Amino acid sequence: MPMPTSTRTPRLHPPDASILWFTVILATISFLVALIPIRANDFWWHLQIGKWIQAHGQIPDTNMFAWTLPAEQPFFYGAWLGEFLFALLHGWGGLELVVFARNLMFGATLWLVGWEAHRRSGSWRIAALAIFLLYAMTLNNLGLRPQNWSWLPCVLTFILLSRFADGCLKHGWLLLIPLLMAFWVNIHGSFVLSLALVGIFVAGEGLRWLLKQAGAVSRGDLSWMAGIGLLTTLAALANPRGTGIFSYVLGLMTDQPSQTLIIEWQSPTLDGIPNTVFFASILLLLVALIYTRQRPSPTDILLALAFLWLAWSGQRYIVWYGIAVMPILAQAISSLPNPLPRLASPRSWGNAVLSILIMTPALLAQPWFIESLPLPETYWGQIQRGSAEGPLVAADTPTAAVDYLKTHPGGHIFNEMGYGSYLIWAVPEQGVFIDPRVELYPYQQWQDYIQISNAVDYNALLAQYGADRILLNIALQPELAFALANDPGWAMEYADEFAQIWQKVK
Amino acid sequence: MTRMKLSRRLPALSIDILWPLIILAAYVFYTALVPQPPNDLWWHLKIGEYVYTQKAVPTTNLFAWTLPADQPFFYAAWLGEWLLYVLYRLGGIDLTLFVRNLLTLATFGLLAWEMRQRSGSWRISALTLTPAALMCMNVPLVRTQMWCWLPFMFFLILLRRYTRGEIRPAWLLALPGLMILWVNLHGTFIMGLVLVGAYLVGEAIRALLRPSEALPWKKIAWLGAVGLLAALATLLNPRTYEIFGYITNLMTDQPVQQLVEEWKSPVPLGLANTTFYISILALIVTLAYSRLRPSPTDTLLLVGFLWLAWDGQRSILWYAMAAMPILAEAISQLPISIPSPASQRSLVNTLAAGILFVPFILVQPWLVERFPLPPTYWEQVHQGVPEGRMLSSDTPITAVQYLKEHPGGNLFHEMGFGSYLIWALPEQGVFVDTRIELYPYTLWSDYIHISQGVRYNALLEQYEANRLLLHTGLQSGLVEQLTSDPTWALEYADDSAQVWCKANACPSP
Repeated sequence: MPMPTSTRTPRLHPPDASILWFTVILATISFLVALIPIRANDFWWHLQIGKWIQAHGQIPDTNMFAWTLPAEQPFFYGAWLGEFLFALLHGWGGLELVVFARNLMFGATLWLVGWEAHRRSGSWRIAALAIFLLYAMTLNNLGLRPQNWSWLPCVLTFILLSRFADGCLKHGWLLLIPLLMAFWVNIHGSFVLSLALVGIFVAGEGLRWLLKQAGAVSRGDLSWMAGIGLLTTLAALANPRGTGIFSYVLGLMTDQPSQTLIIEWQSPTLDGIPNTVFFASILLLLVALIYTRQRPSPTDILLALAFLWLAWSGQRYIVWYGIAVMPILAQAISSLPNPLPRLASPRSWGNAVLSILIMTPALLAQPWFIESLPLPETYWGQIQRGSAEGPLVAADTPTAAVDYLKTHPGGHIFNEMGYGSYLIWAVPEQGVFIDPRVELYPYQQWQDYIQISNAVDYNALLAQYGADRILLNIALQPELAFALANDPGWAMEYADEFAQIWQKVK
Repeated sequence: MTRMKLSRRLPALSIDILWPLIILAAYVFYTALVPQPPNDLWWHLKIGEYVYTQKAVPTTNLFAWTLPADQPFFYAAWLGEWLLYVLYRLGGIDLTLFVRNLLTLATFGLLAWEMRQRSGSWRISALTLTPAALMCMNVPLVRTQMWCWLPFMFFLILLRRYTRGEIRPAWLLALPGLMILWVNLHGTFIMGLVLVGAYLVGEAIRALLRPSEALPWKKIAWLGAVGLLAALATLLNPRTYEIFGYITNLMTDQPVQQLVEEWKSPVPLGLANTTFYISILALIVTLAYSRLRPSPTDTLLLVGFLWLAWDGQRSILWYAMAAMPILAEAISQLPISIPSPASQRSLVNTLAAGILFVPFILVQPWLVERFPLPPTYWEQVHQGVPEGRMLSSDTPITAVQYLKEHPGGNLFHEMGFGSYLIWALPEQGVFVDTRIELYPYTLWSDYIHISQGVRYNALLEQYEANRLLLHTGLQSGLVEQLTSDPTWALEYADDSAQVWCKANACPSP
């Protein structure tokens, strides 16, 4: 779709009142995101790797922590830079600064998506709808982990390409994309999305050029985009594994344990608010495309199809669908025959001041102040208040159980997967049976882990591995907890509301 | 017979029609060969037999030993079950399979015709019939749902023809008539009301937004009146208005929603579900560029049936029937020129059309065992068993025969096997069966745990089950546990089933 060119503002103008719609939604989301507890699974082991890199000045390339595998078993830490940055922030300002950085990154991502949606739709109210949908469909995907670092590279790459294709940016701006890639490739495996985005824009704009559509880029611009694609591919090689990074990503995408055992790698189904919003957004997109007065460009259609398929293939990809498709949805909605009724929106600097004031609750929910906020007890029930680790640590993180292990070390411990992450951080010398480095472990070991957790043949399997202690999550491993309680071969060492430690009776 | 006489009797067909006929013939050939699993056939047959012989619709459990025999249960598909049993009496399983094949042919034939009506092109009809057929590959089994395929198509076609002014208002009176049948055939009768509702709301919206293109309000009022009559017709069932409570319970029943694969949301794995998802992408692209602006009714149908299909794979069939004709119409109005070579009518085409369906005829149940199919196919079906042809090889025919000869005990068994047990050995009683909503969630939860080998001894003891009829594939976790458990002894084993007994209480040989 040809873009309105009037959105380019050479001078700063006071915002109109409709921006308040956007800031209210942005502030509400920012507030809610700041409240998300830190789950054990995908954060603590990354932080430990970051600390290791900081201490040793190099990137590890072996297992290191699992006692069930050789310590020197190769493992590729593809998110090493994300882990290092987490460790750096943790060193400077503790967990508070790490959480604050996540909040800031998601807030900035929302703002950029909203900004692009506003550029395409000309309406802050539609932009507000776009970011609300993005937030609601990614609710489960906002935990603290290296993926957080990829949100901004993704949205920036999308915006740069989108604006270049619409003739709003000079050629030089696209050089930022390879630079973003040099960063992205070292922070998370999702860097391949950058190549996908460039490829889609080249294909879509190439189609527009071939069809001689109005507003199509020139042949020179198309070549420049292709050149940027090549540079971006070369930039992707700026990582410790060089070309091996692609086989790593491919291996991850086809890794049987990841694909079959981890919920977020599985396709979304119509359960829970985030997935329901995701599917509802597809219907909204379909209806908007049916009735919109402007036909979408081939690029926008390719983006919608590709990112839709990606999201259907795994829930963890819904965030990328949201970033790429919500601005397209906003544009389609803005061209519906019966757009939202236009309200009088006077421009005033007062709107800017009001917008900043609206953000105040989100500032008060930042990690340094959050524990003094008057939030309901049901919320505090999910958090360990006053934890030595820092704010927002999820209630079921085994901090007390691991403190016990620190004072009573030893043995070969079978542990819940997520607990493995915290063990790696808090008591790495203990070693783990398994942890969220899913692709590190063979499929058979994962199957045994599930069998043991379900208390099926657990004594024989634990004996086979040589495990003589157990750290279990009562909620996630109830069968094992029940079986051990009735098994004279095991004695309980420690128990709290969430975790239990058992020892083999000799 | 001279050529002239032949041409008087046979219509000369254009070559274009061969396109959808190729797809249709391939699809009905494929579906005729799908092995019939035990799950959803045998217990329905048993209920049909009960209705037929007792001349009453049962209202209680009857077969499960884990629940009181008089536990209430609503057999909403009693008429479908009765029809299945009548066919079975007349011609065994073979006749039920043959009727299923005819229903498939008629339903997808109507669908192809509807696509042609909307698009004006047999080739576009073939193009959209292909995904419709592929996404419904898992659907055509012999079960009570099969009686509803045609009512759904009739509702869809009559309503569309009416709103386009192509049929007289009186035709709509067929809908309440159909509804009287449908409500007693299967719980999907609610789709009939959904269709009338979508048309009523859609046409009312159109009348409000674009009065010049819309039906006059008088005709919309008639549509509403017919909808009311159809709603009243749903009351003509053994439980009258309570049938709506039954449907609501079914739609929210925890075991049904969480444990039964076909009630779960589809994921893009396997050919059928992948095609379903691709069809959504095709809709997005086509509707974005088509000159067609679907009517509010069509948009409601698309959105409604897409949501329904996302909610459960069993509804993909309804989505295919409602949405694919709209896709056909949208394709026909894409701003691209599809070459359309001159197509003359010819008897040769008619002959070719007939030949296309010869393989379909040759795989009808009475002939299929003589059809040259690969050995890998025959491994999936029982051959030469008196129960009938095309039964999947995991139907526990010989295991249940063994149980007939060695009766007794409280039997724990695989869910689908329960369906066959109800038919073949009802006096044995079942632990669970495919009447999912009959059993409480805890029973299903225990069933799953036992099947996985989790706390199986404690749980079986709790239910006082002392014999097991296991599916070696679906309950491999339990089978593996039992092989090293000295408290259980293997009584019987074949390729897909095993019978175990408590070692201290095995029946004498």
